[in-house]
Formats: sequence, C-alpha cells, structure tokens
Amino acid sequence: MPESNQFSPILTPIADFFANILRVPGGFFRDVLVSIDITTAKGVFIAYFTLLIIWVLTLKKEEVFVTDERTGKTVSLRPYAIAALLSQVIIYLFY
Amino acid sequence: MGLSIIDYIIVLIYLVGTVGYGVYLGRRIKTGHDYFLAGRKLPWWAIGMSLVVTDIGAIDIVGIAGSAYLYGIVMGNFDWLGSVPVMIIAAFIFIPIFWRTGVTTVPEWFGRRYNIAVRTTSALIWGSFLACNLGIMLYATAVMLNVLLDLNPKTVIVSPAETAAVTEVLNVVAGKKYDSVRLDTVDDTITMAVEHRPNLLLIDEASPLKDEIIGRLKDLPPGKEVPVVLFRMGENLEQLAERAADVARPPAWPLFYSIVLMGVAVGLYTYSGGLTAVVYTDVIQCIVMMLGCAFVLIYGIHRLGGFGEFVDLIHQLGDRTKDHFHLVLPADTPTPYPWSGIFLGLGLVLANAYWIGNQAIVQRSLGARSEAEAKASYVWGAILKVFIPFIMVVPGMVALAYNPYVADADKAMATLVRDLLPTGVLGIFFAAFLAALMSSVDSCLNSAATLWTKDIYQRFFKPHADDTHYLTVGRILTFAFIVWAILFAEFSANFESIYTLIQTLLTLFQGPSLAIIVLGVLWKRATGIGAFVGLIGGLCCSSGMLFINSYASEPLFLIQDPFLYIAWWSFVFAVVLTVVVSLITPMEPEEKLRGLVYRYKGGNA
Repeated sequence: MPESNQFSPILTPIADFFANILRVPGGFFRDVLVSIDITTAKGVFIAYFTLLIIWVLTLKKEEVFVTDERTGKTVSLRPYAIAALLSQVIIYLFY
Repeated sequence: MGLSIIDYIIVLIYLVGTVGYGVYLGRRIKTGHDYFLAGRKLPWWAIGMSLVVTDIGAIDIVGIAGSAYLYGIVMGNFDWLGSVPVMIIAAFIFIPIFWRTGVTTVPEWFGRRYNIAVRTTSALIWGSFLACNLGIMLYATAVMLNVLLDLNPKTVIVSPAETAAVTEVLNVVAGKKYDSVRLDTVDDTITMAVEHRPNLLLIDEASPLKDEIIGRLKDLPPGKEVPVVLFRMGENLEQLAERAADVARPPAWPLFYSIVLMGVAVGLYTYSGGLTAVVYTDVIQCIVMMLGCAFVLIYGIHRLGGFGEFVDLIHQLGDRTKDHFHLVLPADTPTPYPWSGIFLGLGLVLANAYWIGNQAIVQRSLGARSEAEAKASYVWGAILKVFIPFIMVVPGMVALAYNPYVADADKAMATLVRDLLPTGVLGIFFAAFLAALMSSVDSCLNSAATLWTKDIYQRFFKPHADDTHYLTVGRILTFAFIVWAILFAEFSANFESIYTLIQTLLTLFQGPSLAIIVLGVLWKRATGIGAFVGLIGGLCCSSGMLFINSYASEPLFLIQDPFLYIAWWSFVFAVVLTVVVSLITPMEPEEKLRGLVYRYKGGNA
C-alpha cells in the first residue's frame, strides 16, 4: 500500500474528482485480476510464449530465411527464434 | 574492496585496450553515414552482443542484484518476458521495415510514416531524455565506481542515540557522496581509523566511549590523524555540517574525478569512432561482462556447497523468501512486481517500447550490413538474453544466501564480490562492471548526438549539406554532450529528484510512443493526424494518472510504484485515440505507405 499523498487545497479536490470516477472501473479491473489464481496467471505467460512460437512457425519463408551476402549461404532464423521462445516456456513452467 | 595491484593492472589493461581499440576504429570514419550508421557495415553477431550489453547499465548491474536480493527471481522477468519475445517480434516485423526505409533514427521513420509534427515531437522528447539521461548515467557510473573501488570519503559516527536520529545527522553532515559508518566499540573505531582513514569522525558527547576513543586516537602516528568533531544530539544540524566541513579531510579521490575519468574514456572513442566504435567496444564489453558475472555465479554457488545447498539456504530464511523462486507473483503481492503489472505493463508495453522505439537500442540494427543481418542480430540478442538473468539476477540471490542481513540491498553484490573473489578475479569482475557501465553511456551519447544532428539540425537548419558536414556536427555534438553530461553530473544539486523525474517522464512517453509505432507498422489506416493526437492524448493520459495518483486524498493505484500500470493504460488510451481520429481523417496516400507498413504492397494487397 502506498503512502498517503500530501494535501493541496487546490489540486487535491481536482484529483479527488477524477480519482472517484476512475476508481469504479479501476476497482472492477483490480478485482478481476486479483480473482485470477496464480496458476491461471502463469498460464497467461506460457500461452503468450506459445502463441508467439505458433506465429513464428507460420511466418513466410522469405521472412525467416536470411542469406549471407558474402558466402551466399542461406540460413533459417526460425529454429533459433523458436529455441529462444521455447526456453521461456520451460523457464516459466518451472518457476 | 581491497583491490590488489594485479586487479588494478587488469582493470587498466581493459580500460586502455577498449578506449584504444575504439579510437583506432575511428580512423575509418569519413562521413556522417559512417559515423551515425557505421556505414551500414555492422555484422549481426556484433549488433546482437551490443544490444544485450547496452541494455545493462550502471544502475542495473547493482540494482537488479539488489532487487533480486529483496524479491528474488521475479527480477528475471525484465530480461525474459521483458526482452526475449519482443526481440523476436521486432526481428521479423519492425526492424526489417526500419532498415529498408534507410532511416537513421526512429523519429525520422515517424516523419516518413506520419508527418513532421509527430517526428519533431518525438525527436524533442527523446533528444531531451537522452541528453539528461547521459548526465544521470555518468553520475551513476561514477558513484558505482567509487563504491566498488572503496574510493568514497568516509564519515564515522559514534553515538548511543537511536538509529533514526543518527541517520538524520549523517544525512545532513555526510550527504550522499560520503560513505557513512556507525560504530559501537572503541576497537572497531580505532581499527577503522587506522585501516581506512575516515575523512571525519563524529563523536556524540553523550557517548561513554568518547574519552577512550579520543585518548587512543592521540597515539596514531603523525600523518595518520583523523579529524574529530564532537557534537550533541539536538544541536542545529546545518551548523554542525559547517563545523564538520571545516575540519574534514578532503577526499583523496573526489567523485568528480570518477565522473571525468568515465566521461573522457567513453567520450574519446565515441567521439572518434561513432556507432562503429560503440558497437565493437560493446562486443568486448559483452564478453568481459558475461564472463565476469558468470564467474561470480558459478564460484559463489560452488562456495555455498552447490545449487541444492544454495536453494536450501534461501528457503531457510522463512516467509521473507517464500516467493524468491517464483517468476509470477499474485496481483495483490506487496512487492512492486504483481503478475498483472509485469505482463501488461512490462511485457506488452514497456518492453516493446524499449526494444522497438528506443533510439539508443534500435540505431545499431539500422547500421546492419543487410536487412537479413538486422533481423539476425535481434534473434541472436534474444538468445543471449535468455542467459542474462542467470548471471545478473541469481548472483543477487547468492549474495542473500551468503549474508541475509546486508542493510542496503544495493550493496549486496559489492559485498558478495568483496567477500568472495580472490585477487586477480576481482580485477576481472571489476572490468566486467566497467564494461556494463561504459556500454550504456556510449550508446546514449552516440544516439543523443545522432538524434540532434539528424532530426533537429539537419531537418531545420541545414537540410542539404555535404555528408562530411554532418560528421563534423555529430562530433561537435558528441563533444558538447560529454561536457554537458560531466557538468550535469557534478552540479545537479538534487540528483535523486532529477533521476526520478526523468525516469517518470520516460514512463509517461513509452506507452503512447509504442501505440503509434505499432499502429503505424501494422495498420495502413493509421494517419498522421491520428498519430499526433494519439501521442499527445496518450501523454496527457499518463501525466493525468500520475497527477491524480500523487494529489488525490488516496492514491489511485494500490501499489507503491504504479509505473507499469500507467504505461499500460496510456498505451491503451493512445491506441483508442489514434484509431478513432484516423478513421475520421483521410487515409495517407498509398505510395507513401508502401514499404512502411507490414506486408503492405499498395492497392488492395
């Protein structure tokens, strides 16, 4: 919980006016977030990484293949991107 | 800290080697294009390493370990969720578009995609932020340098009074630039006087140790005397501070020396070599930093008896560490890192704004040899980022396992290093630390000069000059910024407030800025007027929330530091505003959008 704010005779009533309006949707939003249990929250993180893996898998060839202009060798960045994202899934599953 | 001569030699070799290499690279710089974009000759591996090391600055290397000491592995979110996914997204969507358009700065891209108003607003905000941040980074770097080298002047206080009263005295008399130590025994005081030669010894007249300490201090050999000031609790502290200043021994190595040392070292090679020097010295700095921090991690856990023992020691600390191995904390956690703020504020907004919209970060990828290498650099950076929490965050937890009772968490890493590392290795770690410091300052310096040259000077004062002219302007600005940063760092009277203000301003700007980048790249219908209104409206939204949170009778947010939520809501507000205004204003011409919008080929494509 934050510390109480300092009172200002001019600014505090203005801030209070807007704060009272915003607290209604803000309170609702907060209640929703607090009601989400930690396993579901973790699921949100993992789902995010998983969705990105799926997105990388669906990228067009010309978007993921890169050619070294000096050697002419073509390499796909897809496995490296997936490896980085997969590591995140594993880390967030364990911790 | 107790660095030996070997440690100093290692540090000196590192420092001279890095600066010399950077200056050597500067010989190849002939035009503004070479200076600001390294002639577009940078390889992917160098950019990737530079991206990673630039992200870790003076405050991070100590602050992250300090926060990990307090809150645990949740700090890893800043490198994992906060870097890896967005770097992959940036690699395949944003960076190729920026690179293809041939721009030098992110605001310049705003100018192409939207209009001059968006470009100039963004350039002025980023330009001011980078210039001020440079002074702050230099100051923070110098402070860390002095702390780790144990160079700060020391004030010792001996008093039987309660902690709060003693702290108040120290705050006024010693201030932030002195290390303050409170001692409770005669032997400790004399040992401190002999071994560390404090610049000032404050003795409370009510202390029963007073006479014995003063008596034994008289036995110190000539030249080793310690200035003593007697005081009474309750006396006027300003007058006490004046009395103390009159007798205190001047510091052997004032903070200003460190500020100038770091400023000159970084300034030399950045002035000379521009982005080329920044990126290639970053490569050295990345290797040294990763090796140094990895050594602290491995050696620290080994000395604890292995990983299992390390985990057990953390768990044994009870409730205080019950969440230390959890990356995802409840929305109502008492820490500043609830999962909701981390996911929405950091993961979806701040991280994206940083890796996609921060000039100091994006600039190096714009200097890549090809679009393919620009993409590859971000993927390579993401892979490296996977390892960073292990070598930055976990050492903070190792420090906790070693010593759970460090008073100031930000000194946990320094304490660990001082207690743990043998001679020689200490020098390597210190070089690693310097590497992290320098890599962030040089990037900030180079980007500030680039932005002011390209988006302000070239755009408004001399649009059609020869490219060598911009090289000269860039170098003059680099020199001016380093002088400015040194003066800013030395003479800012209320540094903490300025630091907080600037970081807050950046938070206010990040959400709206990201909103118009994302919409500009992904939505062809986004218009210049829409983006400008969204940017300004988003800024008003974030500033308004900050105002309400600060002045309402009860704070708007229920956590102490709501910057993650402010970033999220200002982003949402700016997106809505940009979309609404864009839909009621005419679409930008197709030929203008071609190449600037993701997968957009013009027409109905």
